[in-house]
Amino acid sequence: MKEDFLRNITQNQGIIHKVARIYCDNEDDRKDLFQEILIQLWKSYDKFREQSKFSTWMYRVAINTAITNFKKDAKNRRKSELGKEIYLLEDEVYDYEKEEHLNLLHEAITQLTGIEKSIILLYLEDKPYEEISEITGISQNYVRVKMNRIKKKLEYFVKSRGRN
Amino acid sequence: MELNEFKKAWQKATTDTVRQKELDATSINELLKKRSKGILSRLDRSVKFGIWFLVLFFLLTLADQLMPADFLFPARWKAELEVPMWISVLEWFVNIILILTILIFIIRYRRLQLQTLANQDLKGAIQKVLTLLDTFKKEFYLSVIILMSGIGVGFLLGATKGFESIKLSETPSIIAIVVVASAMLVLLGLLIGSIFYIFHKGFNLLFGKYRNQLIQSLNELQEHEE
Repeated sequence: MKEDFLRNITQNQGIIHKVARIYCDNEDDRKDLFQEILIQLWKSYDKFREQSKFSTWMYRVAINTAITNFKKDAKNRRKSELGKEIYLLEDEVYDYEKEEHLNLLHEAITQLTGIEKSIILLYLEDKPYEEISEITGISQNYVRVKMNRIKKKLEYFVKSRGRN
Repeated sequence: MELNEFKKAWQKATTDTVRQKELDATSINELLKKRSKGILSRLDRSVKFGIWFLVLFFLLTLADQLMPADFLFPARWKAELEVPMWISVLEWFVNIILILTILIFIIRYRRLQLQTLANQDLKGAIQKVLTLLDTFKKEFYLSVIILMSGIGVGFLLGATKGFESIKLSETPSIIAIVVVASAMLVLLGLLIGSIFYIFHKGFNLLFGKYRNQLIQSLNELQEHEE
């Protein structure tokens, strides 16, 4: 069973990296969250019944872990500031416009709540509302309501930064 | 800037990140074996440590009651300290209550462990962690109650034996007895109160903010349904 698990996770590990990236601002926290998600996936693996896609199941466990594993304190906030610098260095391979968009996106995402982050992540990953609803456990109707609020929040943030 | 532009930037950035950080199966397996620093794993470890502590405490108490005196400490100690029947009954009553409480606690915790984060949606997962935190809090208080019961029984035994051993030339007045007993009760109350306060503050310091964040997230999820 473990070999199966390792093979599936190795193939789909991008999901964990993306969740860790959206929920954590610095490399240490991302590594910790990555490991915690792996542990939770392994603990739950025998319960995976293939009623949903493996990736949907992985998103569900990863987001559940990220939200319930989140403990924001003064130490984390200090680290977050440092994390922004690391983020800039990591992405310096992009062209100026992309880097600008990316930095803006990163800053905008930090304004969102944990629940909003999960919805925007799935939206950015091109998941349909039906799948977002399945992963988060909230109705499709509410996903739409939340998505509209997030869009407004992001628009407001971009405008307040003086960029359109 | 439109959301579509955000989407493009995100997809480019994450594709590159995933490529840079990709791990092979061996590294993933190594990570699974390492001790996690995540709050869920730490919480789980703390609860398990607490359970072992309670079981150990109970076994020591049981050993103290059932083992021959000279096995644990010199027999003359027990001979010198004749414990009145009513204190022995009280002690056993406290022990039975403790065993039952520990058993109920272990059963509840095992049931909670069976529901992994994957078996439920986000709302269920948050509720599970909140229940886990409350279970941990109860365990915290159970430890305090055990400590208090021990102190209480010890206090009663000490007070009874102490009073019996005093050979006074004249019988103390009722007022003196009431004053001394009240002062001792106040001291005991202060001790119990301080320990409870320290535990309560300690728990809030460790998990208070985290618990509030979870409740906030849960409210956010339930907002629309209400």
